[in-house]
Amino acid sequence: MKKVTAYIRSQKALKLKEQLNKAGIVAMTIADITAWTSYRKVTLQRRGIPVTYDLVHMAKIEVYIPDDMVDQVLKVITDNTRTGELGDGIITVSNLDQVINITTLMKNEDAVHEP
Amino acid sequence: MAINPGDTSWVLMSTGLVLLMVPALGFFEAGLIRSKNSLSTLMQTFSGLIILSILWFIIGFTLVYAPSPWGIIGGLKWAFYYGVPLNTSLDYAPNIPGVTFATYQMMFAVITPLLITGAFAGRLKWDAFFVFIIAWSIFIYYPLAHWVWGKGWLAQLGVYDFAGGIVIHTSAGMGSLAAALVLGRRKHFGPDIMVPHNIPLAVIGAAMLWFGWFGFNAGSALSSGPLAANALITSQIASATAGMVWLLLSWKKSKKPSVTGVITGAIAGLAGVTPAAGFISSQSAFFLGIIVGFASYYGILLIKQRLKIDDALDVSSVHGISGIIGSLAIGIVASSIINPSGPNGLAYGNAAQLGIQALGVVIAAVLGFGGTIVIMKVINAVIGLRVKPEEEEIGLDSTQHGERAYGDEWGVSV
Repeated sequence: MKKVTAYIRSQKALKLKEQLNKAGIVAMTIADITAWTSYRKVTLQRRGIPVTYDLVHMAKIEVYIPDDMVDQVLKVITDNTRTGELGDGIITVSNLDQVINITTLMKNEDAVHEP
Repeated sequence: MAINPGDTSWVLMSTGLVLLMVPALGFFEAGLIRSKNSLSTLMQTFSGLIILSILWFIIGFTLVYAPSPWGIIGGLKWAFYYGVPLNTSLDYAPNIPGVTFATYQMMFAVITPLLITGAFAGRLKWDAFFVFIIAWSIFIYYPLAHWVWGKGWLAQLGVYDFAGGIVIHTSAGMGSLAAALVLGRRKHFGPDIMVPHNIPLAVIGAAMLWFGWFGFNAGSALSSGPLAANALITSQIASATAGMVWLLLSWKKSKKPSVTGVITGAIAGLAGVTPAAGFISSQSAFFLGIIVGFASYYGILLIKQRLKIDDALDVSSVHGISGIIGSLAIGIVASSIINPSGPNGLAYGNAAQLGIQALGVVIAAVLGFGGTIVIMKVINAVIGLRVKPEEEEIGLDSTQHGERAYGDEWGVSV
């Protein structure tokens, strides 16, 4: 089992959720997070005066998937979130020891199926 | 003519009450949409108050209320309020100063185009909005208000509209339908995007609208007496019965009575009773509210759910359908016992009034719908109407205004 975590632009979360579901993902974590980088700043304004921020809201999407789905899921994420501009975010993939569904007590692949 | 202090006080107060409805409309709408677009709606309503007040002062009042030879559009003698009497009255409102009448009417001219902000929420460019409300005022509201309220040709035919069912709610309601059609649906149209981000804010907005509506309807008596008293109770009871219908319908449909439903029903009732408030009895208003409640509820199901027209906040049903019903109700249950200078309706032996009212409604609907389509198509051809898809996803607050509704030190969204 793998954990795939994507830090993406918030406005892409809705679309990505739908597309991941189409690819067979039936559950995921979607969180509002704050990201900081030394190179990405956002300028808004207050009373007509520009104000620059370096803390930016992004969405974090996390899915637990069987190993053989990793390539497919990575492609869905990049296809649906990439603009090519600074600030598209990153994806991490990591190994999981165990996944257990609390309701069904099933493990691993069986834990992340639709009940 | 003599100025009456009691009448003047009431109309001065009512001016403030109707003014309050403009930000109230903004709160109502902002609470019912997603937070990333909430400031854009508040900006449109608040800055609309500024833009349209200036426009009314410069040219609106004179185009609507100055005498016209053909009843088509008023002359220019009162441009910039020049010559509008301060120490004497105009014959539209014989007991109050001319400037008080003009400024009370300013608030109606401000709020009418802003009702349409509910239809195009979440996707209209700011500069397109700026041009739209000015064009809509000049080409739709000012002529229509002149025809019905400025002794224009519809008034001469005997069309009655106490506080704006034809002039305001029918025209803006049908304009909203047109605006939604021209603009098209929001991206991802469906339950995912119809998220009321702050229902308490919407309830505050609805409560302030209801409060302000006493100035809107009872103030339209332009005097402080039995007529204002009747308009106030008809407004109150129609709002209550329409809200009750929504309460029960939402309770029945989803087994739980809906907060957003009950506030919407109350507003629909107020919009519905507006044209009739000073012409019908409170008993008639009781039933009018019930009819308006059902019609606006099923109107939304038809327009939004069945036809999938994305009138984001259902202005076409809540204001349009309600306003049309109220305007036609004059032709049925208006009574000169209530208002000696008003008409009798069908139930009081004057069947012709229903036809006359229907004519007024049709003219307002055609002008509101057709005029809005033309204005929006022209704006689209010249500067464009809709924000870029990427901007729509990010939200109008930061892309159009560079500000966020709920900023915090832990970061900004873009």
